[in-house]
Amino acid sequence: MLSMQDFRKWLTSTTTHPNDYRDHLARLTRVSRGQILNITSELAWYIWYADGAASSL
Amino acid sequence: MDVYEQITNSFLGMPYLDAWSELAVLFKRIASGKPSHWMLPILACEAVGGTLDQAIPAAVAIACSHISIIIVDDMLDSDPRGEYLRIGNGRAANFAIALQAASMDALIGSKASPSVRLELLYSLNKMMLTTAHGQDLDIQNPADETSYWQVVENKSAPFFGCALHLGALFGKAPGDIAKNLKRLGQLYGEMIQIHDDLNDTMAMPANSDWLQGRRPLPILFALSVDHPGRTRFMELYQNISAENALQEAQEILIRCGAMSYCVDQLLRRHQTAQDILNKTLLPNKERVDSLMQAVVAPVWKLFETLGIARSALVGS
Repeated sequence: MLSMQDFRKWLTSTTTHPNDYRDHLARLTRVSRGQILNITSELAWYIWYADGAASSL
Repeated sequence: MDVYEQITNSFLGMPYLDAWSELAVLFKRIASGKPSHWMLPILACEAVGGTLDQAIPAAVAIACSHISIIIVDDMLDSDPRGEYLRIGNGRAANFAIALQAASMDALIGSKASPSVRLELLYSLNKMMLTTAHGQDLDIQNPADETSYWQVVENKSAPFFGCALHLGALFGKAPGDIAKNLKRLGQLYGEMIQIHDDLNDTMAMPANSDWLQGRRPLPILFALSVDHPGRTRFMELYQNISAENALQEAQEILIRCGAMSYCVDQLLRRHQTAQDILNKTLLPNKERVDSLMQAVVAPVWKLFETLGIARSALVGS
């Protein structure tokens, strides 16, 4: 698995070989905060400390 | 009878607990919120061909462990919503100990064969020990990615791995199948931790992780990796309560690739889970498959908003 630093290098590399997966992930660096917030609020359901009764029991 | 009522009744039927009204009240209060994680052993048991009733002792054990872990976690994190604030640190710690013992008792009192019971107890005990170690590593605020993943592996993954493992054992799954379900649970737990970090980082107003100088995955990425906004991010991170600082810091997180990194980590784990699932013979595979699909669904949705189909990402 790539280290964080290697991931950043890979994500921003501009090789002549197209890599769809990398390009899709790179598009996430150009989304708005609102788009990410929509998703993270949806993710909240899965958070295990907040599950069911919230961290406050 | 509702399954949460079954779990609660089973808990209350255990020795000593009928006479400990405060603990019973606490358990009932949490059960009324229908925590979805309590269903994991049942899901695993059904996946391997067992029944809901067979898995109830495992669900009770996982319910007790879940509450115990959260009570302690709230104290370690000084969470303002924690039970310790209501009853005090000492009593909260004592409740956590009692619930850990109760989780073992749920398995000891089950109808599983002696050899399976031993395996169940070993699995649960190992989970509790590993989780406690993970909690201890976490409060030391890991500063690099190796330490970060060590915390995830120890703190977040074992609970979920154990939940599926216990369910599979109660469903009389062969050893290799039960082991695969445990691994799937661990991957699920790791994905939940990444979700948790994404949510904490993007929450508004600033989450306690920001305020306490902690380093959830996206923040760790932005602090560790070379990128044009790194110096500015460090300034904002040190002074996150300043006006507009949180918004600017969150925008840097997106631009520097921290979100992409987290999404990549989610997708890699999801792919690994799919590979394990594909080679695991389960009578009711869809039960586990739907669990793994649900935890990655928000990611598919995000890509859909960008016009990128799920098929373009699977198997990449």
